[in-house]
Amino acid sequence: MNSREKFLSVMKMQGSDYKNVEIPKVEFGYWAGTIRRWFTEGLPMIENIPRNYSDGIAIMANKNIYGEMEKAGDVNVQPFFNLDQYLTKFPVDYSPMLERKIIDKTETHITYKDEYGVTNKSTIDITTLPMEIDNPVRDWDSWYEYKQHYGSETISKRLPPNWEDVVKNLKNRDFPIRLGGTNGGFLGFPRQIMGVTKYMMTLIDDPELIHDINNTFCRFLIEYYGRICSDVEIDCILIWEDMAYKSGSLISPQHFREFITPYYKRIIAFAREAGIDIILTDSDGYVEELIPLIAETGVTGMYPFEIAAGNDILRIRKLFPDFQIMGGFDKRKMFKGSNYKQIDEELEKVGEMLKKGRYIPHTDHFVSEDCTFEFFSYYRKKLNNIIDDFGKGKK
Amino acid sequence: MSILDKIYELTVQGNYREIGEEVKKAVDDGIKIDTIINESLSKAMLYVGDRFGEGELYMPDMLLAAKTMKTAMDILKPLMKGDEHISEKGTLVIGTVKGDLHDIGKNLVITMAEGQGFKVIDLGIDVDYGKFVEAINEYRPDIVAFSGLLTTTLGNIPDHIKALEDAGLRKQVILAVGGAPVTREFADRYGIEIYAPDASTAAKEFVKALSEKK
Repeated sequence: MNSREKFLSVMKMQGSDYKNVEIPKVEFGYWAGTIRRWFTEGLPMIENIPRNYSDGIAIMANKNIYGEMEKAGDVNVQPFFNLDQYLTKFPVDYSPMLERKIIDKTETHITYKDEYGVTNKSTIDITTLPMEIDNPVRDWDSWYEYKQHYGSETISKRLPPNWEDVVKNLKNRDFPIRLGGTNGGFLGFPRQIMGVTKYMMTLIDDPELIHDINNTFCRFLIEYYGRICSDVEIDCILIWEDMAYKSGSLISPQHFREFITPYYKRIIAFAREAGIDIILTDSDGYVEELIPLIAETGVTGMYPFEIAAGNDILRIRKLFPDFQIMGGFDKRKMFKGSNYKQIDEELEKVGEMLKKGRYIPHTDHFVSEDCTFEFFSYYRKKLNNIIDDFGKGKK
Repeated sequence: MSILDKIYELTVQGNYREIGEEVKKAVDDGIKIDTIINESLSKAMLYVGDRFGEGELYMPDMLLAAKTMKTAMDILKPLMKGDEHISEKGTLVIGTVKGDLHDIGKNLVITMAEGQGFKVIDLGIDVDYGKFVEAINEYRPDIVAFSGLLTTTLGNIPDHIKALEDAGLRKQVILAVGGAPVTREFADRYGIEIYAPDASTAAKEFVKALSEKK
């Protein structure tokens, strides 16, 4: 099977029947600094990380198939460990496509307005997540002005410029693709344009404003995704939220049902009509209490299940036997100072998870710079062996 | 319902629009400012914090309660007369560690700590090692708290501690740490006395640490 067939075979498998199922050997991604470090620790360099990439830039674990629309994908780790291509993002742009502007630059910091109109402050080399200083949507007036950027006429501008080539290249592809990414969710989008504090207070203070934002965004997404799906066969819809932190959900179940559920249902109805039956949510943080809420909307799975946030994937699997799970290998077990025994113990959990089915193992987020190449190699080779034993019904 | 109970209820509900009027009424009725803070506002924040810690309330509730308390405090502080003062439990110096530009968690801790009667010195974000040293010399705090969101900047915390040791100040203060990637093990590894998984617990731990110190 190729990477796409493997992905689909696991996502659609019934119970733990591995007949006609092969588990893909994949990673979620790496930070640029991780790969740079690994070059000095033994990873053969096929292609260097672009010089203008700071250590804090994400390198996705898939090929860059869309040219300049996407950041560089991994070309070094994948061949060394004989990995499959990860669920690859189709290039989408949810922003109002505003011009990026530098507002201030000192020796140490840079302040800039991004394509969403969000003013950010960052270290000069952008090695860390920027701090949001100001967000464009504060009230109904600023929202009315902002929503003008989400009309039907903007859809064609959001498609890759070489659309016909992209469509042609994706026809006989051997890897899975997802539609959806950063900020493409019904908590993710309003939070991005309002800022997290304003967003959360507006849920209580002015609920109709949140509904109007989500209604507009939902209508826009269905039109945008519909245009793409008319030409490209999509394997999966991803709803990106990052709606939890280490103590749990950012918002209450009541708020989830009021402000998120109706829009998930509309997106899922669209997906089903388009023939897409894998709907995933991406959220960091402790997500267990969110899963029943998410699952009741029709979402079929989730990733990357950060263990440091307290997620217990074996427990989650027991509670939600059919929920598709990707990720869940604790990256901290590969930090300097760890040992092989800790990695082995973590891999035992992976083995247990695989026995239950509908699980694709990989590191629980981007592999961080703290992970040594020695420990990553040990983990990855051993995981590949475990997968080989499970694939093709050999377990 | 007494006016103090009303202020308590409005704070729990996060009703920052109506709190001002009630607070002014309480002052006009001759209720001492310290009483309004201790009997209504602080108790309400403690209640909200407890319910947040237990998973019954969520971030939006916390943020609105915090905004309500701040609205009330902004009215009360200028109304204090010569002999009136807010009784303080202790002094807290807090900042986001060097290299980290995030402050939502830190700001929540500040609100909860102020709600518990602490005088708080906020050093802001991306705080240089020397700034904590300067702040300790200037304000003589009981507690110094490091906040960090990023795994990549956690590595700067040992350097912050070293800066305090080099200045001979480490033993003069109780250290606290919190933030998304921080764990109890991390705090223990560097001998940091207080670790808290959330803002509400942090404020309680501050109170506990000071009572144990005394």
